[in-house]
Amino acid sequence: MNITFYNVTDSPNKLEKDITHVIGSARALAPTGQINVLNPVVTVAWDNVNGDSIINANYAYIDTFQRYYWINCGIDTAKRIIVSGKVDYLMTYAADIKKCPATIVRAELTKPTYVPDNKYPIHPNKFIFEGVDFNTAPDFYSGTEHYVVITR
Amino acid sequence: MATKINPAYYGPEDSFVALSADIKRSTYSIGGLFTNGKYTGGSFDATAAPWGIGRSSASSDYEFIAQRDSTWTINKIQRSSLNTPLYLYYKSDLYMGANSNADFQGGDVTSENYERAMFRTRTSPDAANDNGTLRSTSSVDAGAAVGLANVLTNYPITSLNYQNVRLYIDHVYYKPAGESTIRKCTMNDIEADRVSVDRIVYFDCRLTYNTATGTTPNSTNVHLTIGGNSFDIPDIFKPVYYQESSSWTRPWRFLEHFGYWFIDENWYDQDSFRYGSTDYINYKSSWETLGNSDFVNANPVNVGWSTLSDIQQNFNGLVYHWESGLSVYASDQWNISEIQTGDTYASGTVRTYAYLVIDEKPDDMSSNEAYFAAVLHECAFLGFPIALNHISVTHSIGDNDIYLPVFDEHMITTGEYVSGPAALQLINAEWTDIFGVDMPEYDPTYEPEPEPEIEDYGDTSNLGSPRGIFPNGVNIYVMSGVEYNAFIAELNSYYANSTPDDWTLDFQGVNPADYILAAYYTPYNFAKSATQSNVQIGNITLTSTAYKLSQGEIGVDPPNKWKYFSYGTRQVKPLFNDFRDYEPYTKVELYLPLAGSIELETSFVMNHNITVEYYFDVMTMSGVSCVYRDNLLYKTSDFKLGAQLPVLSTNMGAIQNTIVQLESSQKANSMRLAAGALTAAGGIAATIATGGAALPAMVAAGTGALSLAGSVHKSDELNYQIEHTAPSVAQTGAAEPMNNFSVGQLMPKLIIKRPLMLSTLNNSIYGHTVGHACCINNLIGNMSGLTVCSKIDTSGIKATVEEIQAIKQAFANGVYV
Repeated sequence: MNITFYNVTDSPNKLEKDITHVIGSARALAPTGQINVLNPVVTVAWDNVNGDSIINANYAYIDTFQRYYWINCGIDTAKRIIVSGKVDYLMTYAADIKKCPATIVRAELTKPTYVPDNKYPIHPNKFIFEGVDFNTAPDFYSGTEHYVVITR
Repeated sequence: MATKINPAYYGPEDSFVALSADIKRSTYSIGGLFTNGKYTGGSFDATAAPWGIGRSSASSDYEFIAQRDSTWTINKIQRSSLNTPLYLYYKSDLYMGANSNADFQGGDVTSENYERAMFRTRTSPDAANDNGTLRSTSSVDAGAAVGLANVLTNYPITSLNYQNVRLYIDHVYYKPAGESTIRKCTMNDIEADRVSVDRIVYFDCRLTYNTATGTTPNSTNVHLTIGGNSFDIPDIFKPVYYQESSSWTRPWRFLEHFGYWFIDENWYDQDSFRYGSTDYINYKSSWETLGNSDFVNANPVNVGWSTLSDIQQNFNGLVYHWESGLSVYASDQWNISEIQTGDTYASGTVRTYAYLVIDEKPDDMSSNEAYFAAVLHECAFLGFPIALNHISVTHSIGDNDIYLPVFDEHMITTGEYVSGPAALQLINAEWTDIFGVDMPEYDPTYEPEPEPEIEDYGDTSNLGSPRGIFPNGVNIYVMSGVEYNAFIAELNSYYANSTPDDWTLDFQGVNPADYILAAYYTPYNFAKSATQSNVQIGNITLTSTAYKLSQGEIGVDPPNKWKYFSYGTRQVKPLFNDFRDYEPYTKVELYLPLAGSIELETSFVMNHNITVEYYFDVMTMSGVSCVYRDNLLYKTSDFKLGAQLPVLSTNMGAIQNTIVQLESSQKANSMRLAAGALTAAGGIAATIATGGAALPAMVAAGTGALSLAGSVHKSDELNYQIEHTAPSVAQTGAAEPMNNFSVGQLMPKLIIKRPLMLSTLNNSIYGHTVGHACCINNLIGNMSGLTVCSKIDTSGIKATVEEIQAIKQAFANGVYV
């Protein structure tokens, strides 16, 4: 079970993480019990790798499980690194997810669309009042008064 | 069959949903018509006066895209910096020449102002023909920029509104608050900094206008640059969102800043260059004669556009969009050398001369693929075919590097696009003209049903010809206040001047009040062409004069139509081009003079023409105002054009009856006395015959003579009675309220209430963190940035149930793709 350690700065809800910052890799020590694939806890010997770096890693890939994990590292009394992981299902299945059809109700567009957005911060009590005058005026007043008298 | 048009230019707003700021739209824009000829020494230097369609450059010079001398020629376009951040191309019609200063909607711009602004005004212009004499050219050059700046400073540029002259502001430079440097800016900058007081905006302007008097342009200074001059933005010109002045007639023009303006076909249709009924520069026809498609040169987006081979056509490019930061712009091989000739689009060969070049992925795009997809998406919404590069533009439809937009069953672009053999299945694969102006030649087997709510107005087409009844047998007079007072005075003057005989002889039994049907006060001026005559009441012709209306002046084409006048047409323009343009965010009311305000259904009138026409009945001075949405009679409202006035006049009939009764009574008495006298005379004769035996009777006869004398005395008494008969007054009509007339606004006005965003809004951050509401059905991989899904089909993901649920939950909350 090889574990590759990374430092990732991407938001957890980013589909594909930037894993270019590789810290190192290590082989996990033989497990003493059952390992949960989604939330694994594995042990890595301190001396195998640069322990100072791994202890600060926040992301890992475990080849056996073929999954990426957000991890927390600790040290036990024997100075072994205890790696606790939580699967990153987004990164793990990014390739497949990208092929998924979906109905997207919000997206990072540059401007609003015609779909009403009740979260949009519209001012509650200020408005734009626009007056559009019509362009053809009948002959009103013309500077004098007008009376109409109808006789027979 | 209805003419089919490319919905990219004519379609509903849905076609342009994706016309957001995702793509920069190049550096070139089209200019208006102008000339570089000089007007000096009182004459126009025709030799130096080619005219054509042009553009401005960054310098103080200008250049022609298309030029006309004896024939049209096309000039090469020099491409300026592709990095020009903003071509505002704000268009405002600017007053030129005619009428009075009042034509400036923004206020009383003095002639000095706009002469300084180098709008060559005319002295003593004729309102109809605008053919006054050009003003002195002495100040044409000097102070032009300052003058323009002055005008812009004191009057909002949107108020400079008239035919023929157009003001373009090409660049805007901006000094943000607290900064010492000046940089080219975006409207967002202005918006964000609108509360600042030290804002300085520099406009790089040019003016263009076409002549109003003939086919030969006779003016100059069609272009000027005031980049070196600056002016503070006055309050009245603060960003559109703060503009509440009624003089702000066309705030939607600011949409043009966002790259939308080129879809407005009204800009460059020939009516735009029509003055009165004459097309002075009908360049559109000229182009069409040469085989070009419509809107050539009017359309800055010429991607995928084809021309005939004998026309060397340059492309005016996509309006560079400053907002997105993306690097898509027109081809840098933007010149004549790129012109393709001889190809036929219908034969399956794409003939594009200008095309998008994806230069590099912008920072805010996750990947080149996503960026490219966004570009294609935008182009597809525009309805343009897309070639991947300048080599593939000559490839055929069906090749994998030629993309065609997909239209839905209503011929509206969807933003979808296909390439390869699938593109050959699209109906637009065989279009002979990408802009659709040749669509009548296109005979598809599929004929989409028209949208009833858009096109089917049922049987209302005859509503434009209302019918009424002309009031025959009456005289309708229009009087001024003085004339009306004289008329009333004359009606009451006969009493004082009349003798008993006058009553019966002059009025001949006429009681004037009975012959006056109604009198109204009205703000409407009928008397434009009516002829003046003496007022007639019954058989009496008064000395009072007034304008007597003929049938033609009472109704249009009488007797079939009512009196009518039109207030013209205005369009309800969107401001945001998104959901905010509709209820409940945007509401539209229409003020109707004399009738009040009515509410218009925003979704029904947005982007439609509103026409207001008034029809009224002169007899009752009541009418109905008709509000049309395009050609559909949409709403009506009653109004009163006149308030009835009470007319008090001496009741001649009553007086006459009194006189007749008195005189009849007097005559009856006289008759009785005369009978007595005759009896007495008989007695005298009898006395003579009897030899004096009847003498006593003579005494009686003498008594009868005395009685006759007494009857003469009674005639004086009759006159006395007549003269002291209390005058009776007759009243016609009763006073009506005329409060409506006190409202000074006698012009309909669309009142559009639009939402205002919180000043703290950052649209980019909002889109990034909250996401703009939308309804997009697509693959996740085609999206970029924050993506929130209501439903996602996770089929194909080899994950555990827990993971699948977690993926769905994540996309429900939002994932950055």
